[in-house]
Amino acid sequence: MNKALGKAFLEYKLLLVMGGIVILMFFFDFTFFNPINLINIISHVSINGILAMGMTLLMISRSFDMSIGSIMVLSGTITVMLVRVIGIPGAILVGVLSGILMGWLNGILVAKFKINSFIATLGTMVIFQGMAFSLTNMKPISSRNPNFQIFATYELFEGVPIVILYFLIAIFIVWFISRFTRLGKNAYDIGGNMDACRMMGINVDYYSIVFFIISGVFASFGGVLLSSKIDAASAVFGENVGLQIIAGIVIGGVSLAGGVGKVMGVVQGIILLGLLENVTMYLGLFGYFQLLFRALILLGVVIFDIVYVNVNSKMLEKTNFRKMKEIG
Amino acid sequence: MNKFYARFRLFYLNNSIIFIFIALSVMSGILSDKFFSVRNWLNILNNFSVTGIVSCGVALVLIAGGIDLSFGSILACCSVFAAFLEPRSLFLAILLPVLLGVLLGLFNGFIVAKIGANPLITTLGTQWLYFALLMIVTSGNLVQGNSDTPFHFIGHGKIFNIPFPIYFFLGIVLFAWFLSRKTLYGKYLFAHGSNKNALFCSGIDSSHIYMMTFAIMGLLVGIGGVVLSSRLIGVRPTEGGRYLMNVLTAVILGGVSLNGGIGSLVNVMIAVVVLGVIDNSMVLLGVPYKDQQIIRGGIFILSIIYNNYLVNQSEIFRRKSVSQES
Repeated sequence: MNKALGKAFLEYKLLLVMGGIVILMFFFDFTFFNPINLINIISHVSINGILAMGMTLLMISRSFDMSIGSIMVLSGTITVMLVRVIGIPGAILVGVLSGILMGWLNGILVAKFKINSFIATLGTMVIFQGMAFSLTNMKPISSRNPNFQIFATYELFEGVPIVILYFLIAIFIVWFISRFTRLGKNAYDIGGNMDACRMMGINVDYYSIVFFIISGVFASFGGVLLSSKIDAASAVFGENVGLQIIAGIVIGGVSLAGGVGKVMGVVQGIILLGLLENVTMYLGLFGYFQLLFRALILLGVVIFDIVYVNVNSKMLEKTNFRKMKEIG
Repeated sequence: MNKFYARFRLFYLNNSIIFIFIALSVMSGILSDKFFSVRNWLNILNNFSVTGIVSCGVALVLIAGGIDLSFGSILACCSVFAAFLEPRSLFLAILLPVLLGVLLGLFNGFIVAKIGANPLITTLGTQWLYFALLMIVTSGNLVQGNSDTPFHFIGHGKIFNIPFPIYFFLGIVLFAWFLSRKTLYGKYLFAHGSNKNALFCSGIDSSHIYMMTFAIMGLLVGIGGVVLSSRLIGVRPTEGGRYLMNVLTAVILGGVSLNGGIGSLVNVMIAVVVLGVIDNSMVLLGVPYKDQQIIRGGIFILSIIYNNYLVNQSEIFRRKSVSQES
């Protein structure tokens, strides 16, 4: 009974934190519960959420992608520039497909050249952002086409923008891959023990390139959405996005050591970060309190997990010892 | 002859950054006649002195098998603190920021080494934590120092016509090199990076060594913060963000392994100078600013690929020479 309770607590701790925040808001400011605000939170985290969904499989397979912020920026820039030349649908298509190329480059560097994924994607992060700098001449650019904004801001119902639908589709795709396909199963296996997978005859290099491509495509889709939402692109939009997304995924319960993690946990982590942002604004605090809360949540979750696991394994040892005593 | 060649080849494989450095300087020297002037070189060293000081600390952490992303925020905290204290007391303005650096580094080290959290994600969290606290305390405003106190000398003074930060830079490199190569602590540092369980099993408090490494990084970053504060006179709290990429690039170019246990402080210093040379020659050659980042990233990736190739080769080479001897 106790064990099941503990497990459930570990599983739903983020929901508990979110519940705590919501109860706090109940006393503080009731306008928070306005449906417009709640929808606003979701639609605000949608783009980050799409990026996080793309990187979840990659992080489960024990590598990560620092460059998604730059991929986002570069494909947004390409799209905005092409809208004037080849029209909106073509530009969006090219922008999203450019993510395949960038993800493939990351994957080649990590899988074929055997560079640590942190270093390799740090390098490509600089390169992609540099490309965006040189394409935009270091100025924000705009497509000057009012129809381009429809792609992200079209309202499904009254006040529900279409980005939420994209977010839900992204969640469904990644959840489906992780639960029901060989690709997802291999992500967990490669993250758990890469050498064993290689010996079993799984083509590890191929799969890790595929994960990088998935991450790249989701990132570039997010980038196209972002530039469509505000009808602008600039090379500095993507700074620190990679680290933010990694933090969100880790808060969501994916281990940096690989092989552990759930898609729904990541969704919770991302929504928690968006909720914090919103609440900081509602409480009327200075903007950097948001960063403070984010840091505290991240450190808190990381330390809590370790301490919890330590206490649990000590308890397990004790009970095993007692059993051994009883037997012996 | 063959033995000499073998020795040279091994040296080349382990210290490729020296040859990259020579090749790059010769190339820039041919392309621009101003490159090989004393003034230009002093300029390069002076501009990259803070990067160099911080790189030494981060290199120590990487050798111990960890990683630190928070040094940019620690640097900003220390330099802002120094700028704040400077009008009050010269002695405190040097001492307290360094102590603050040690404390912040120690906090990182405590979470990573004693609690056992992943260093990457922990220091990402503390990076945000320190930066957010700094922004809240200063409300994002520039902290003004003044330029006629003795404190000004640290960043702008000259001895024998050589700017003072260069002495700091070389002194810190010497200190870190001495620490990592000539002391017992250095031996444990490398041992912790390559196999911390073995270190623990031989009866050494490995987590203490690890935590102390973070504290030493904090010390060096604190010294870097004092130098930076004195160089800039007025410090903006966002100053630290620029250093993240440069420092990590320098440390990794210097051949320090992310898995720990491999690295040389002298090579890191040369890598810092290589970064300086790249920046400097791009300016001398008139590369437009908007294109500089692509070149920087491209050189980074190519040299990592090359370095990986060399590490593989040196492994093969070592195995061969061992099998020949036996």
